[in-house]
Amino acid sequence: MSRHPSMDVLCASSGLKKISPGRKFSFALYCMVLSIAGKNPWMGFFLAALLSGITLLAGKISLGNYLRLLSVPFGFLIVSCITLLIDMGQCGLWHGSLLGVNLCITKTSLSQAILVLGRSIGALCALYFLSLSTPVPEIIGVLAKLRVPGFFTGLMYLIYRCIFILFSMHHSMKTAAKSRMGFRDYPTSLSSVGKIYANLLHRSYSSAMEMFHAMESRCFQGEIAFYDFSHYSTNKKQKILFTLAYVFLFALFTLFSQKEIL
Amino acid sequence: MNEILRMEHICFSYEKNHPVLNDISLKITEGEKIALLGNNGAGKSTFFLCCNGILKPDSGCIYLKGKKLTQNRKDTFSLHENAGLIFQDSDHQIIGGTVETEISFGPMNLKLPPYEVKERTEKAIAEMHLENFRNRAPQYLSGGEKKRVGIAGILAMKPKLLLLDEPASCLDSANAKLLEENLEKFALLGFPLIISTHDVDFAWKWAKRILIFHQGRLVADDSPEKVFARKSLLHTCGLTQPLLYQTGELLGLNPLPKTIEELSLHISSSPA
Repeated sequence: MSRHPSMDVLCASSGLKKISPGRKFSFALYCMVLSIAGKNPWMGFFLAALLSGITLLAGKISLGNYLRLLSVPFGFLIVSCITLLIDMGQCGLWHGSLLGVNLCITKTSLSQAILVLGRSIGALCALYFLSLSTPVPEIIGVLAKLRVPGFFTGLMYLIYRCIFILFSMHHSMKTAAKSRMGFRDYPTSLSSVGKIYANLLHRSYSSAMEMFHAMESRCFQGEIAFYDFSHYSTNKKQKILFTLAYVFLFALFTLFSQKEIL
Repeated sequence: MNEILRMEHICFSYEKNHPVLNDISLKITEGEKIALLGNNGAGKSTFFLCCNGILKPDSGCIYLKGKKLTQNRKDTFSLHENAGLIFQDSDHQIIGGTVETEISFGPMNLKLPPYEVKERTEKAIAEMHLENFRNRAPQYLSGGEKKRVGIAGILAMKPKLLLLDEPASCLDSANAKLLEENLEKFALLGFPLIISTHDVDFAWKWAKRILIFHQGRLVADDSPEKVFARKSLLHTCGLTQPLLYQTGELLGLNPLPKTIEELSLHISSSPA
C-alpha cells in the first residue's frame, strides 16, 4: 500500500466531518456553479483560495497532503491551459518559433486560458473540499435523498466497495510478483504487470459473483438500501454562517461579473 | 426438538452430468451444533448456498420448519431470511459504508419499519461487541472485526439457523477464540449452527454432530465419537483423527477427552 494517506483516510479524520453532508454537498455545488458560471477568472481564484483555506484550516488536512492530491488534476489543468494559451501566428503579446512553426500568445488566448484556469481551479477546489470532508457513502446518501435513482446509488456503493477489494488484491498480487523477482527489469516488469491485470480481471469477476450471492442471501431485491443513522446537529450558528457565505459569495460573483478579465 | 430445516434427496450440478451435490438428505433441529467436514471441492459451500436458497436444487425437497418449500420467490426469501449464511470471505459480504449501515442492510431488505431496523441493528452491534466500530468504514477493520460485522449483519435478520462457511479461516488465535465464544453463546440461545471446517480438532471439541461430504455425497452423519472411529472413511475423505482423540485412544481413556483440560483431568485422576 502507499505510504501516503488516501483521500478516504484523510476524509475520515477531517475536522469538517461532523457538519451535515447535505450542507457540505450543497455548498460545494454552489461554489462550483459560481466558479463555472463566472465571466471573470478572479471569482474562481477567490473560491479556490477560500475553499483551500477551509479544507486546510477547518478540515485540518496537512498542506503537503493537500498539494500532493491536487498535483495530478492541477498538472492536467496547466497542460490544457498551455494549449489554449498558445496560438499559431506571428502577432500578439509574444511570438516565437519552435521547430520552424510560428507560435504566439494573443490577448484573446491569454484571457481565455486564464478564464479556463480560474473556472477549473475554483471547481476543482470545491470538489476537493467535498471529497476531503465527506466520506463517499455519505455523498451517495445525499444523492439518494435527492432522488437519484436507486440503481445508480447502488452501483456507486458497490463500485466504492470494490475499489478497496481490488486494491487489496492488487497489492497482494504485486507483492507476490515482487517476491519472485517479477520486477527485476523492464521487460519482466511489463510482463508481470500484464499478468497481474489479467488475473485481477478474472478475480474481479469471481468476487462480483460472490458479492452478489452475499447480497442475495440477505434478501436483496434489486435496490441497495441502508438505514440512515446520520445524527448531525442543526446548529444555529452553523446555519447563519452558511447563509452568510452564500450571500457573500453571490455578492462577490455579481461584483466580479461586472469587471473585465484583464 | 423442533425441526428447523430438512432436506430430502437434494441434487445440484453447475454443469450437466457433474453433480456437485448428490442425493443429500438430512434434518437439522433446534440447538444442534454441527460440523461439516470434507476436502476442497467436496460440495460444502454449494450445500450452504442451497440451504440459504441462493442455489436452487435440480431435484429434491427442502422443508423449513416442516413446511415444504417450492422454488418461488416467497419461499426463496423465507430461506434467505431463516437460514443465515456467513461467507468465508467477509470482504465479499460487506457492502455498507460503515459498520452500522452494513448491519442494517438485511433488515432494510426485509422491509421492516425503520424503528425495528434500528433496534435490530443496535442489538446486533451490542451482541458482537462492535460499539466502538459502529462509524468505522469496513475497509479499515481487521479480519476478525470484519468477521464479527458479517455475523452481526446476519444476526440482525433474526435467522432460525446459522450457516458458517469456514469462519476461522484468516483469523488469528485471539479472534478464533472470540469466535468460538460467540458460537457457544449462539448455541446456548438455541440457534442450530452448522460450521464448515477443515479443522478436525475444532470439530471434535465443539460439535455434537459431524457431517462428512465427499465428492458431493453425504458419507457420514453421526456423533463425533462414531464418525472419528471410522479410520478408513476418514482416510478416503482426506481427513485425520483429531489429536485428542488419538491421544485418548492411545492412553485407553473412556470417555475420550474433548479438551486439554479433560485430558489432564483424566491423567491426574488415573492411578500412577
